[in-house]
Amino acid sequence: MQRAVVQGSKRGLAALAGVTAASGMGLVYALENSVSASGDNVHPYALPWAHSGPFSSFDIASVRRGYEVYKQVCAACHSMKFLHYRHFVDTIMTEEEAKAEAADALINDVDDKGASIQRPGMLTDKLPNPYPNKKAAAAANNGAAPPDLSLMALARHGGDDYVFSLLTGYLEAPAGVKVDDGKAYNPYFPGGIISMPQQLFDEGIEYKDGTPATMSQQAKDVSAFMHWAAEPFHDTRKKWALKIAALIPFVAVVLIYGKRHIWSFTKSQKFLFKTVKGREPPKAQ
Amino acid sequence: MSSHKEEPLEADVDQLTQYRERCADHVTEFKSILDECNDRVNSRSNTEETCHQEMADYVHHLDHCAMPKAFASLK
Repeated sequence: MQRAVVQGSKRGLAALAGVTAASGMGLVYALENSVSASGDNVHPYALPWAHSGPFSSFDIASVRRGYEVYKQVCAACHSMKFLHYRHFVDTIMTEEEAKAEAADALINDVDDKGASIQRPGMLTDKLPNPYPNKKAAAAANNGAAPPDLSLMALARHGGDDYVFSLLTGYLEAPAGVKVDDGKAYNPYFPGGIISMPQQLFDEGIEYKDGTPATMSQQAKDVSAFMHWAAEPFHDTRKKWALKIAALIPFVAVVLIYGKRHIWSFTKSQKFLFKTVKGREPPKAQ
Repeated sequence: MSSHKEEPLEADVDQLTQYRERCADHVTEFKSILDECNDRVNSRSNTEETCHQEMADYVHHLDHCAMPKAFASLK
């Protein structure tokens, strides 16, 4: 009788725990959606990038074109402090191409006598920063320092979609929105007013591979390049994930049966209690 | 409605801009709301109202028509 009561309350507790967990998850989901719903900017449309999904790699041709856009348009204001020229070798360029790219750049350095010099770059150098420090960057850009682009694709909600939409989203400002000199209206930017005017224009640059350099094409390519810059290991990571995922079923089988084999003695033990002469339990008096 | 689906794009002109123009009839309702707001705000000199929200709604629905087609047309 007592056991039946205990069993009942245990089942009740299990049900209560389940309901609590489910409502907790529901609450988290609702809060997450309400956070997404806040803000007055347009949420970027989800685009089918070549590198989206667990089985896809970067479109390296697009990344190469994106580097051309970065070098000729973005590099005038934005730095890439975590990217070195050596990262290009055998990924988006050959070693010779990467060395030539580095040699094109002017790198601030110090000579043997301690004097400041500028020298041609080499593979171990970072992509150069257009400004010596953040205050200089802000002073040159109406008080709004251009952020570093190394990890920007991962830093912004919406990632690649946001970058693409932002770069192509310079529309005429609606009535009532006051746009100061040097700033622009962009409905994808939080607040709507962005300190970076439109930078990409049809035929603003010329691609080496002959692709027509429309604004959208440049935006797509530079978005891919920025994602590649933020995750240079991206293709390797997915390759390793696929290998590990392929091995997991076999390893799981081995581990499960190994465990069961090792525990078979312990779990199949039976205990038999037998009274021996001289050690009987005391008789009731 | 069919115009933005069938005609080939003009070469060397921005694909997204072209599709935004072609999708104009897709979002006439939101465009009229935005235009109404623009007219209302421009006709008053002492208002703090902005049409940013109407613009956001218009752009959101324009994207659903223009963005996937433009992106698919890029190399």
